[in-house]
Amino acid sequence: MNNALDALRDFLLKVGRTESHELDCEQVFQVLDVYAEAVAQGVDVEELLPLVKHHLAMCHDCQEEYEALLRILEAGLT
Amino acid sequence: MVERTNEAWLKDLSSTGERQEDALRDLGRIIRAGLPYALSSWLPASDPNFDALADDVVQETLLRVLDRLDSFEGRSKLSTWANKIAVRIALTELRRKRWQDRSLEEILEKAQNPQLIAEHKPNPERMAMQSDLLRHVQELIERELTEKQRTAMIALGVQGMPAEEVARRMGMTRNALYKLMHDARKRLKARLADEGLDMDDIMKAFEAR
Repeated sequence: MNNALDALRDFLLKVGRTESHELDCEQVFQVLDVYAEAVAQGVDVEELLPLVKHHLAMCHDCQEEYEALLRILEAGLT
Repeated sequence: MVERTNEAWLKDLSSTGERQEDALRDLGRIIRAGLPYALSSWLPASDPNFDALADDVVQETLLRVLDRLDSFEGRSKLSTWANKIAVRIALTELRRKRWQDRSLEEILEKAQNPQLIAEHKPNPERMAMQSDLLRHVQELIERELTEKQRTAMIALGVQGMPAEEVARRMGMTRNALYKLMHDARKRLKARLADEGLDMDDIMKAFEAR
């Protein structure tokens, strides 16, 4: 992405997916360990924690942290 | 290293002396072992800066774990909970370093928001209509969103600046920034609906430009 029009497009895509109630970053952080363990164990998180999944799609920082945590779990280290 | 249940971790970490030291050392090793995986797309373990960063992250994480032990609810393994904290600390530091030389002003200047759509080369009639749609959406954004919200929209969307770094430069927390943008999205979504504008049409207009 390199110009304001791309930023606008990115924002509008998120507008289209906006829900009236969304979790914020702190609420997601509180359950990110539970969520990542569930994913690593193959649990259907869509059903269990749909609001977390939605937040991760909307928030790149949280998504990056989730992916980093998942890499640790998938390496079988914890 | 002793395998511990969550209960054993809690007991050992909240004790004193050698027992606590052993638990902290073991947890530190677990966190340290996870960092090369966690940071693989950020900083390879072979990078000369990796060890210093990892050592700092482990120390900071252990302090925070002790500080927040009461808030651990036992819904995950304690090691996963500690790794989550380590990831947050590590990525916060890496984002800060990666973006430390970039100011918000510079990024906004490069993006120069509103005129962009008008700058596009002349289009056939249909495309002109689609450009009108984009221009209208842009007018809505300028009318409905606050200056703060528009600034954040550009900074977040252009060049992928992390929310954490945008928030720092705007003097707010990442959480507050998320809420600010959630309000902006909700407001705009409602306005688009009021005007009967369809998101698919808007996205098509982007493709046609």
